Amino acid sequence: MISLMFDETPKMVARTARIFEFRSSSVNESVLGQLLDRAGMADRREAFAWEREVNWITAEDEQATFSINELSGGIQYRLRPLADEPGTEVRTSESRLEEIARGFLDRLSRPTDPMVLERITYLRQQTTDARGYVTATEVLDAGLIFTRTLEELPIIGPGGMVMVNIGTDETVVAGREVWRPVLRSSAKVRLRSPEEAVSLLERRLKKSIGGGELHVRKARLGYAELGIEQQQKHLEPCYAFVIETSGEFVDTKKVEVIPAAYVGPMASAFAATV
Amino acid sequence: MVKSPPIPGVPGIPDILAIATITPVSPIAPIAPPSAVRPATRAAPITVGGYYINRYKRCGQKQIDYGQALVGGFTGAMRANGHSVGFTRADSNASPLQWSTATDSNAAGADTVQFAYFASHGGTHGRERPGSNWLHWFLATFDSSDGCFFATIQLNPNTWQPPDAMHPMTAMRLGDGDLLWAVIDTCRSLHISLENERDRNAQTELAAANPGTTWQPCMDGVNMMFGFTGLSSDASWTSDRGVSFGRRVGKGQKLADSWVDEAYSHWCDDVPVAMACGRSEDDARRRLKNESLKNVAPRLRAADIHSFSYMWRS
Repeated sequence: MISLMFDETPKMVARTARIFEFRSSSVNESVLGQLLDRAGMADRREAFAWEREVNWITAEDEQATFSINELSGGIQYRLRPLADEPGTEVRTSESRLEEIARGFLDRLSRPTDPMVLERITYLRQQTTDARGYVTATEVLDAGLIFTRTLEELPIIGPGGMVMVNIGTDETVVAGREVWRPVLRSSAKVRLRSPEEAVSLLERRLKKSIGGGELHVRKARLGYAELGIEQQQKHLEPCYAFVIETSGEFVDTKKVEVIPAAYVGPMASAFAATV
Repeated sequence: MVKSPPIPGVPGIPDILAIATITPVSPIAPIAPPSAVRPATRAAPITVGGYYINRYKRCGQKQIDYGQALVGGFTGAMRANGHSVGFTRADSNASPLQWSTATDSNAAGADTVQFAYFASHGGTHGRERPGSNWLHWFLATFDSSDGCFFATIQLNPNTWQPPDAMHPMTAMRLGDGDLLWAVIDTCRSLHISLENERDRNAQTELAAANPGTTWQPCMDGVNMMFGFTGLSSDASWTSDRGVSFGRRVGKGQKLADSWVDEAYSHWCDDVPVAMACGRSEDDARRRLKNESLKNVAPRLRAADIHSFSYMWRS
C-alpha cells in the first residue's frame, strides 16, 4: 500500500503543449575559441592547452578552464582559481549580482532566449578544529541560476539552466550553461491531468518501491531538459516528482518523471515501464 | 498554413503544423582554430576502486536504481583519463569489512586504492550526552553476509547504536594504507547542521553536526572526502555526477571545485560537500581549494590533523 503525502501538488499550468525538437549540437574548437575571446581571454589563448576527449573540448591554462560538450552544446568554465578569491564575503546586492551576470552573458552572446533569475546560491566554507569549534561561515561566491519558460511551461530538470558565479570582488569567476537551442516544434498536444499523473506515479511506485509512506516534496509540470553530458533530441512536457522516504536509519530521495503528453518518445518509453 | 516535415521519432504526430519560425539560436560565427595547440599536462596515474549496493536482499533496505551508474561513471571516466580501476564491488560482494580498520588493506579494501567511490544508503546520526555534548557518527548500509552497515564508530549490530556514547570506539581508519580521497555518495554523509535538512527529527539530532567532528576519528592519512548534507537523489536526472566528477578530477582539475559543481542539483536540491583536513585552519582551507591529482597535498596522519575545512553551495 502506497501512501503519498504532498508538500505540493502538481498544477495544471497548461492543458496542451508542444513537443519541441532541439537543434543538433554543432560545437568545435572554433566555437570554444570565440567563447574564450568573449570571456575576455583573447590575449591568453596562445598559452592555453587544448584537448578533445570523450565528447568534451577543453582549453585550459594554470588559471582558467573552459570546456564545451559536443553532445549537449553545454559549457562550463572557471576563469579564476578558488584559491585566488580575494575576500570571504559577498556584499554585493542581489540586483547588482543579476546585473553583473546578465552583462557577462551578453558578452558571451548566449543564451539568446529570455531567461529568468530562479535562485541565488552561495558557495560557503567553514572550518572546524579537532574539538569541534566551528569558524564563522565564509562566502566565496554567489552562483546565480537562470532558467527559462517555453510558452507556458517552465524548463525543469538538470538542463535548461545557466549559472554564473560571481566572486567577492564582483568578478565573474565561473559558470555553466545547459541550454539547448530549439529548432522547431509540433502542433499542440493534449496533456494528462495532474490527477492522472499522480495515479500513474502511484502505479509506478507500487512496482518499484512496494509500499510505505512517501513524501512528495516537489511536484511540477514542465519541460524536462537533460544534463550537460547527455544528447537530447526532443523537449517534452512531463510531471516531475521529488519523493522522499524515511526509514529507521536511512532515508531516500528519488525523482520520478511521468510524461504529460500521450504521444512522443517519452510517452512511448514510459508505456513499457508501467 | 505552412507545413513542416514530421518530427522523427514522435509517434502519433504524423503531420505537424509549423509555428512561427524560430530564429537561429547560436549567433557565434566560426573563427579560425587556435594557432598554437599544445596538449594538456596529465595527472599522474592513480588507482581507483568502486563500491555500490543497488539490490538489497538480505539487509532490508530500499532498492537503489543508480548506484551502478554513479560508480561505473566515475571509474569509467577515470580510466578514460589514464588511471586504472583496481576493482568494483557490487551488492552482496561489497562488504563493510572492506572499510573497517582491521581489514581495509585486504583484497578490494578501501585502503588499497588511492581514490574510492562508494554509493549506497547512509546518514549521519547523533546522540546527546550530558551538557548538550553531542556525539555524531555516520553509517552506510550494505547487503553482505559480513554485515549490514559500516560506521565511523563501533555500533551494536542489533540496535545500530553506540554501546557507550561516552566512550565511542573508532571503527574505520582511512588512509593508513593507500587511500587519499573518498566519495561517500549517500544521503547526509558529510552533514552540516541544518543545511538542506527538512526532517524535524533530523534537525534536532543534527543541529550541532559538522563533517569534521563526525569523520575525525577515521581520518588517518586520507586527504579529502566528498559527500552530501541533507538527502541526495537516486535519480536518472542526477546519475551523471559520477562520470562528470571523474572526468574533471581525472584530468587534474581541482577536487573540491569539481565535486561541488558536478554533484549540485538546483532542481533536486542536492547539496554536495567537499572536506579537507589540515595541520591548521589555514592549511585545511588551502588544501580544500588547491588539491587536485596534479597537486597532491602531503598525506597527514591522525596525530598531525588539527583542522577540517569544508565547502558547499546553498
